[in-house]
Amino acid sequence: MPSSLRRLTLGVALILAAAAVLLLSDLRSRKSASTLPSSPAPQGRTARVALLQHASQAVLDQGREGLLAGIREKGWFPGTNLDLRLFNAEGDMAVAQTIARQMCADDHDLLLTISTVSLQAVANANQAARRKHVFALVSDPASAGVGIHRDDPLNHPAHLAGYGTMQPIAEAFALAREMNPALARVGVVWNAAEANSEAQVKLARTVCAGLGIELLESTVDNSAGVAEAASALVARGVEALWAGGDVTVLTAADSLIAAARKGRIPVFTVIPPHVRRGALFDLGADYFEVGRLAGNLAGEVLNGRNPATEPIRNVMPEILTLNEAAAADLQGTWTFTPAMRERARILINARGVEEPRKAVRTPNPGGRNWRIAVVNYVESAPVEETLAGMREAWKRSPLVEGRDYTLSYRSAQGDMAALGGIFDAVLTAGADLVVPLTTPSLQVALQKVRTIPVVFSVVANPVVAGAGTSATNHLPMVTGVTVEPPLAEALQMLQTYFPEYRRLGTLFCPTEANSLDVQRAFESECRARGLTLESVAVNGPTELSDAALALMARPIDAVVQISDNLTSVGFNAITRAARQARRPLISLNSTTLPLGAPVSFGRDYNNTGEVTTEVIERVIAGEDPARIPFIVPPKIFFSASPANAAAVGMTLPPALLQAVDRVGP
Amino acid sequence: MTLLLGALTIGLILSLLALGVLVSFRIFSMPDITTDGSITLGASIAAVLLVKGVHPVPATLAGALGGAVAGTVTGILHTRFRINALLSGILVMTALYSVNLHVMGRSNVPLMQARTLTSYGDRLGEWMSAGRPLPVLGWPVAPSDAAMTVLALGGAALAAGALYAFFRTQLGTAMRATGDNPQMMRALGGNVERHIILGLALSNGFVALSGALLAQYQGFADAQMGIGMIVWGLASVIIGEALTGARSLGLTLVGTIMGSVLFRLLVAIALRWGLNPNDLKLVTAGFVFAALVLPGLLQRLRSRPRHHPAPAS
Repeated sequence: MPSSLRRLTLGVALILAAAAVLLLSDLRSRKSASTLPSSPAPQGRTARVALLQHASQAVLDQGREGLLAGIREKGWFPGTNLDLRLFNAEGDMAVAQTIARQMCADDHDLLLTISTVSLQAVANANQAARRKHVFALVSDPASAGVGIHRDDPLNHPAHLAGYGTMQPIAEAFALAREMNPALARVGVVWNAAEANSEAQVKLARTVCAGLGIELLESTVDNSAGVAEAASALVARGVEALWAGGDVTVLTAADSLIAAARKGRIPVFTVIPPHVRRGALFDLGADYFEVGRLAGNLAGEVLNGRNPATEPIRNVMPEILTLNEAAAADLQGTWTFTPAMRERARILINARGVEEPRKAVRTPNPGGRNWRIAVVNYVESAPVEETLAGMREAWKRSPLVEGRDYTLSYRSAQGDMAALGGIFDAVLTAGADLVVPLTTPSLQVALQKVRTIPVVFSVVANPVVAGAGTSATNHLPMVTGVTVEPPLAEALQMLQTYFPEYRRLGTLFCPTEANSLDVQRAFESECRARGLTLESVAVNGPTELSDAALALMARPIDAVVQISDNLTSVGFNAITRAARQARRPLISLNSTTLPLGAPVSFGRDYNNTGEVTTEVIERVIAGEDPARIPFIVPPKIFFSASPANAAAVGMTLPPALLQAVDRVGP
Repeated sequence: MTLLLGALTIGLILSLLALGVLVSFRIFSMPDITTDGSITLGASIAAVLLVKGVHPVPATLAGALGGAVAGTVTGILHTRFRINALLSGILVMTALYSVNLHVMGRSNVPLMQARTLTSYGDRLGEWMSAGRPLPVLGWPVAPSDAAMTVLALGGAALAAGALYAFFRTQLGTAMRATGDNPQMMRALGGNVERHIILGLALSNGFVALSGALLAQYQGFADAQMGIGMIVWGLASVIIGEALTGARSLGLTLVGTIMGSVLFRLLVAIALRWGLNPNDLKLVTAGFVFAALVLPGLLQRLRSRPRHHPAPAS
């Protein structure tokens, strides 16, 4: 017995060595685990989260809504697996301190704060407990005094992460100057007790000095004093009032704007959307979006992401809002350029009516480098064309490879058992988004990938694959591009140009994923249009020639070949048989014209690739995959070759040659 | 860690396939190509039953039984109709394509909504740790992943134990003897044909069991999932023999399971290191080659000093 045990040692040693190598390449996730002893999985457990918002004020409310939306996107739903307690200090510092102590004393898995003041209050109270803390809607985290360093975004307390959103102050002043080139004196009301506000006013002073604008300041302690301070500034002869991200002042935005209106001067802010209340323009951050990004981060922290390794970055999804009505009876001339109107997210026209706008997006509001992992099941012509189309679309994309995204490509080379390992490897390597190509790859992704977006492509029927119940109602993190063959369109084309073809024939490959499904769908589509379909099964490349000849011997008017891998690769055999039998031939694969097809009509896989990249761009731009319906790429590639037609004894009607995308030789 | 557990689980599930291949390839010296079809058959039968709401245990066993029937057919073609062993395997494998499509009704059956053995793994994992991740050597591990690996290990051990026990019964010993020397067996009055049929049924039953489990683990059955599986099965058997030197039955069984696990671990390493995707198959072939050659090489290096004095004496 000992000798047989000795015989096992080599195997055991090799297995242990291989396991050790695997674990060594996975050390990163272990470090994050040791600092996060209780990183929960979304299922089967309720996370306790508390949120502190400093005041009830439009911007902070938007941030909170965004934050909650962002957390939901990561699989945490209040009431089901998220025990969420919302606190609001209603602008009172002392109350904020008490709430912060309370939040840190209770057993919370994560603390969330909105605004700089709340960040400071909770960070202070949290010094001992060191509970995980994600903050948002903070102009300048480094100046908040909570241990965040300006020079090194990774140097911050290990339990603390979040995003800074420095308002575009320089841009706002430049825009004001552009609208009114004579602008020389601007007033600002601010609360010196707000660190956030101070940072912005300091920046505004430098900006104004650079533009040759005189900045007149007036400080207040509470919202009640805002109206009086603003009137004082108007009396001192300012030509416009500017409001930064000062919570005290923004709470009293209405009185600030009223005071300005009395002096017939405009108010502009870096905090949208104040135009609806009468400000001239706001150039600032989309705080819902900022909140949503922070919510995503919070959700990922709940899923196990380590705050210590998150760099504290500046995110600035910019929006411009305009109010032309507010420019009506001002002193001096304030003009809106067409470019501004084009850019505006909200535009209130001169009649005071809000015009509908189409959404303007920043391409990558989070600013992170997305690691995109493309996982293919098996090499095939459609996949390769799709990949080529994706590459083309990336070249046109506003996103930059290396800065906004990094692509990786893996293939299981037809080994289904390897697919699971590939997804494990992709997730271990820290992918942010996966792109499964073909149905088996999507199905494994549905099993393995839970917390990051999945954008599939080259999948004929994602509903059958289990990705949802319809194109719009699907799993929350999953969306993508379906390549359902355009059978109805093809038959429409056929009946338009070749009404005399009533009995059609096709080869199909029952052993191939999808070929059988397409054949059945085609059969019922033909029946619905009063056509008959003769189908001949082929099981392998060697049978193709014989099967094609057998098909030609059937009583058919024309061959309308559906697209699958086998018949696409071996299309030559079908051409040869059709030429021998002088049988009209129409291919439903867009790439078969060079292989002898007289007419080809099919999904444009290049376009499939382009659309796939567009969907990925939408996800990177912050759209919720749950709300992106499965997309069928619109383009059909229709081509014809008179020479190929002549070879099978088929005449192409002139109207068809007019209608095709390309006429071949 | 997830990657390690995933590779271990797949390795253990496919070790059942390897055990099946071991029975046909080593014990009966027949490279039985039915494997490629019967693994899919097991997966399809189990998947269709699971979607219909059948309890996972009988569904899985039904899958295995389907494989056994396929093996029986191969055995009958080989013994009763005197068709070459390789050819009868090819015939049944080819026929199984259509059978599998008929069983599934289409080329792919997803199991997302169905209750499978995997859902038991999830529940076991939750029960083990109340939904919290288990710390394993410092890595946080989703309890369902850990539970799946434990279940797969238990399954493989149970299968190997059952096979060991069976081959030590009178019938099992006779079957092994048939594989070693059919003439002698016939001379002793044994029913060689019946033994071969039984052996192929057993072999393909294990293969289909592996397919049924694989479908439940990966969440779907697909008409193409069996392609090339015989190769991985053979590779596992041969790696296992190279590792253990394979003298006794018990060692061979354990070696085969180790071979399957090791093979999947090496594939996982190759995947983790992000090699050029076009090279995956080349690298896996390289692994098999290394696993075959290295033990012999080590042996020779170790025995060289002892060999030198031998000619002198």
